[in-house]
Amino acid sequence: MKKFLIHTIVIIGLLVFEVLLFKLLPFFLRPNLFLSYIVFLGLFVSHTESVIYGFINGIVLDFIYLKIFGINSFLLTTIGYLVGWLNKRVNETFKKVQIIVLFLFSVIYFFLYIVFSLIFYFPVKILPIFVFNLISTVLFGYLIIQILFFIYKKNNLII
Amino acid sequence: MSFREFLYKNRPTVLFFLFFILNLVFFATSKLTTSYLNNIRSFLIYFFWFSYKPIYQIIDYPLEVVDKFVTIPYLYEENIKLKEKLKKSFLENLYYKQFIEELNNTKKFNELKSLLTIDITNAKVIMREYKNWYNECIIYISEPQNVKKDAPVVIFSEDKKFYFVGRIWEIEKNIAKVLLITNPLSNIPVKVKNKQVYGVLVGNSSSELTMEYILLDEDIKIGDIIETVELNNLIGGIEIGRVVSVETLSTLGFKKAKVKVNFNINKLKEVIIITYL
Repeated sequence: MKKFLIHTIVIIGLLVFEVLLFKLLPFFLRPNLFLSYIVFLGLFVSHTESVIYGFINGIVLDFIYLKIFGINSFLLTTIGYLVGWLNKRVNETFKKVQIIVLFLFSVIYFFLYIVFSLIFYFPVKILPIFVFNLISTVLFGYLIIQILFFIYKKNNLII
Repeated sequence: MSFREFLYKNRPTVLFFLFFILNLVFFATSKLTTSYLNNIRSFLIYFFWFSYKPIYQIIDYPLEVVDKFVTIPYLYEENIKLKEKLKKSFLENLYYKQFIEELNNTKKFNELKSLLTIDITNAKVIMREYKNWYNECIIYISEPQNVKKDAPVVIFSEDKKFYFVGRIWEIEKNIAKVLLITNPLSNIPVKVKNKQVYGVLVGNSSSELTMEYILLDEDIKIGDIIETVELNNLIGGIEIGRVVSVETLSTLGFKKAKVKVNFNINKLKEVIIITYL
């Protein structure tokens, strides 16, 4: 129950933080905070939770940015499933590992996003904006991972 | 290994495939789902938009404050520029007002000139010293060619009448000094309108003048209108004022009348000089 409550609070907090960043940052810097959250869950918590919360967060994002319902849930579930394979297989406490994993999965996410845009014919951002988004996702994602690590560690949710 | 154990062991993969199938369902019904969800979303936004308001306020308020501080120097500069513009506009406005007034006066003067058989020229009062307020004034004549010394200076009032103001005292180029009728040095022959009563009008440095040398048997009453006589380079029949009191000086053998000018001598702006008699 405690775990579920913390997950819910974190999701709401991320939503609020995303709104704040939307207001504060220019249009080309749009960090994907939920992607960082899924990466964190996959690295630190468990494979199953990264898949489940990937799906839930995707549904939430789909509901907020309603383009084609299911795209974000599919992308985040896939990312959650893939990043989950790294759980207990890499030393996630290394900062370099965190950054590399974050970068790698951001690239995969954006690649899948472009593939989906080609399949469903919806307009996509131009490449430089993708690059800026990727950089901002890595920067803010690293920060988010540190904060989440602190919260989860304090609540003994990370073994 | 039983099926249950297999499922438990491969939970992430099983869940992934489950969610994958769900996502496929979402995609298959995406048009329908999206439209329905859009309605629900609009409904929720309508009722819960205020929950986002504080977040926006938290960001907007400090940004607005910073913006205000940043704009202060710009405002200061803009204020200075606006003040300069205002000053310039004010002066331009004054200039145009004066220009329009002059244009109207010229128009009126030209109309008047076409109606009259005598030659006239207009002039503008440019200076009146407070010490000699009732004694003299300085005028600017745009066409001074025909203006001579002692030429009568009149005004054309709003009641369409000419009133005698004084005479040209000195003239130099475009500038002339006018000896006002209220000056004690001014002595002009006058008569009562429609009567053969003559006298000399002397100034008192006030709006009240004195008509002297009226014979004792002459009929002069309060309210009689005083006008100029065609004598000594003067044009006759121009009104000056009205008799306000009559005094008999039996010892000198004359009557003395106080005459109040019929026009506002304090408000001299445009005057007319009669150039040809």
